[in-house]
Amino acid sequence: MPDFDVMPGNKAIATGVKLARVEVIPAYPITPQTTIIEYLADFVANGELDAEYIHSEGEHSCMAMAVGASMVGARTFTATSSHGLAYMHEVLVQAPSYRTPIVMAVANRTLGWYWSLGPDYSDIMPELNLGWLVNFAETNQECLDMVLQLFKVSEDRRVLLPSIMSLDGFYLSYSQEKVYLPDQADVDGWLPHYRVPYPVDPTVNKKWPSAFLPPALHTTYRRLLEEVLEVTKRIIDETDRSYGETFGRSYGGLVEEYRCDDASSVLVTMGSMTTAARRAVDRLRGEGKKIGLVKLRFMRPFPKDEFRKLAEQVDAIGVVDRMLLHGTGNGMAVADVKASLYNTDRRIPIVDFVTGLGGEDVPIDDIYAMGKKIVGAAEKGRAEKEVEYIEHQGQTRNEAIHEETTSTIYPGSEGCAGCGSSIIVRHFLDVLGPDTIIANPPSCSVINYPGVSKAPFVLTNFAAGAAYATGFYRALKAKKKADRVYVAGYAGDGGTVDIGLQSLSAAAERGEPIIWLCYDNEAYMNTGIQRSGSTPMFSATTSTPVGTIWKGKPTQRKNMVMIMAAHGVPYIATASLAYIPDLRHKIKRAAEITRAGEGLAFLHVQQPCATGWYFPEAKTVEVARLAVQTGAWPMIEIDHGVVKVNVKPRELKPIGEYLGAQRRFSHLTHEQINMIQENTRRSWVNWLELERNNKLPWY
Amino acid sequence: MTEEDEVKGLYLLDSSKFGGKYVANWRVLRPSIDYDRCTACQLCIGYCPEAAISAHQDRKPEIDYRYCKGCGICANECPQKAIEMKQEAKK
Repeated sequence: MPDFDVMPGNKAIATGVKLARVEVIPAYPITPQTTIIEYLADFVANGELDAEYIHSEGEHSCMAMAVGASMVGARTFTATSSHGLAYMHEVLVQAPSYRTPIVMAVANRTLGWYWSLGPDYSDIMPELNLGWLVNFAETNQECLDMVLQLFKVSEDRRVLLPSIMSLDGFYLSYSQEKVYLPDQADVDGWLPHYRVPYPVDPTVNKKWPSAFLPPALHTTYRRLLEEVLEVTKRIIDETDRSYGETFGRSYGGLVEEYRCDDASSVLVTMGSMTTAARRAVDRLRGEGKKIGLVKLRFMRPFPKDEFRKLAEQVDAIGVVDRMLLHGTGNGMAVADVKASLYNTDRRIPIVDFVTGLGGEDVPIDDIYAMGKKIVGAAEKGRAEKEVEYIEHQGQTRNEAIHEETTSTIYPGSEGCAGCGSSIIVRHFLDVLGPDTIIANPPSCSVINYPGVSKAPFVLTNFAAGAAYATGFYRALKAKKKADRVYVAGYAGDGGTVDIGLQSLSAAAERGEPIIWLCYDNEAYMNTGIQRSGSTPMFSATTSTPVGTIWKGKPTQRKNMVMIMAAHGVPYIATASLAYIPDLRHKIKRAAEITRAGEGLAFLHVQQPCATGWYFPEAKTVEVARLAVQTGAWPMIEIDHGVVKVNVKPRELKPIGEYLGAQRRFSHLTHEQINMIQENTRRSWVNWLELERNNKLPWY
Repeated sequence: MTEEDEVKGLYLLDSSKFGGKYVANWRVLRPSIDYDRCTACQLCIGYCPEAAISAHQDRKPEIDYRYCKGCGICANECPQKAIEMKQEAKK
């Protein structure tokens, strides 16, 4: 068997995690990290990795789970990107002072606004100064090797700090490269089991890390952390050398120098662009220019001494920065390079090249041009400009056909062919009209409808859809316009039942007159079909795959209708895209109730998803109808506490007809189908019982 | 908006310039309506995810092929089986 494989960066990361025998993996999907947690789910589902895999409900919780698990003493890994990382921020702060040696992969992606799925370092840079070690990978091989190295460094008693393994989204995360796979026995020997010095475990230990410190000791303990990070530099070097001796690959510690020996100028790069920079430097060397390349591998701890030494040898430094520190006019890497050189005797020109933002490519030609400039600066002893922005012509995306239409939404959209949400959103906007503000937390609809909706379709933060809607409503109320504009939420199941639940619950409790429509496709479809709190039992998703051990999602979905009913909101309805007149009636009723200022109206519309449920796209409506006719999706209305079952088939069809139409249930055994049948029957009987009792007792 | 209202560096969406997205090039199968069978029930209009079907003067549906992705929901839902999905002609 060959000792290598061809794999994307995300799989290299997951493979490293598997080799490290990680014990706890909290996970939450976000592009372009998601496939890391999917590969790990596959490993666990098939018994290749014996780990606790936790399907978290949002990144804040995800990082909290990681910190908790690490405090008890488990080797812990998680991964995120962009807004997920930003949402973790508060818990990221805690991890270094609890001294939890978590390793986290960050598949770099632009931090919005403006949004992009492509990578730049705007997500990672705001998290640099918390006490985490922050490493950047150039290749997929480096991703795998550094996962192992970072566990070794982080768990070293002289360090005991968390690490971030930063890899460029798309360029590494999804690109295939040859990756050599270390032998498991060698890894086990080199990276022994993690032994936490002070586990939060009352059965073995009476001491645990404190969150509090008297103010008088703060400066001292912060200084001590700096000393630890200073020592960490040496341990990073040691670990890299030891890894090289064992596995035959090493990377040079904090920085790697390329063709720097007799260089009179250098370019500084990080991440995957370094490969292009090597070729640009080769070309310049071929032209006789004495230029070298420094690959900044660790931003934290920062290689101050390395740059001081370098500045004694060269006459100019160019730094390629893939992010901006707004208000300073330059990027982060150049700020650190400059700061490390201030108290030295030599003054050399330093130029910052800001490029590759929003995931734009940083091609060899661009780096070649930067190299030429920095060679020129070295020769002249001064730079023409302190900061250069490398800008390219933008391209427009989609052809739009502008024609008058009476509807609030134009035809066509960027949704999949046969998308159920496209059916729902058309009727939603058509009934509400153009004087509506839509709060739209991240979901497929964010990509598909803002460009075709006449009503403002405003992207919100994932966890705060109903809070944005509250802001819209209260401002309209303050301006005496609340009776002229509807405020609505259009959210998927993640943005409603998982990460969005807290803000929705609070808006419901405050009685904000908002129409909240959850189009429920029963998984995170925008990131590629990961399970949500609304995924039905036994459903196969990419984070609950069917393997030798796992058989789809093991638990029941949340009963969102009853959760909202527990808030006592004036109107709750489930609806189906197969029953359009009923759907439109319910949207209209929700609009009436919110217009009257009575409180929040909650519409829960099931949205069969051909892509994620695996059925032919022509069957979207058919599957939706089957869900209602089998009792899988009961059509309920709770109007001021009065329960009504809207669609009552004389006899429910067997659940197998609904399940059999979708490949996400194709693995089910007879026992499992019978169990779902029994659950469905019981839920149906319960609803009929509640209808007979007329009003929910707490209304 | 006057020039004075312009905000430097603010990237705006202008809904007055929006329009239907041209998505016909996604299509593999092309729906075709048999008007002899069609009873003008208009179910296909409500179910079309792209709003590519609208009512003609005789209340019968008409497909705007610029917006049709060829998903086939209309053909699948038509109670009269009056819509047939045919292979899109090769360009």
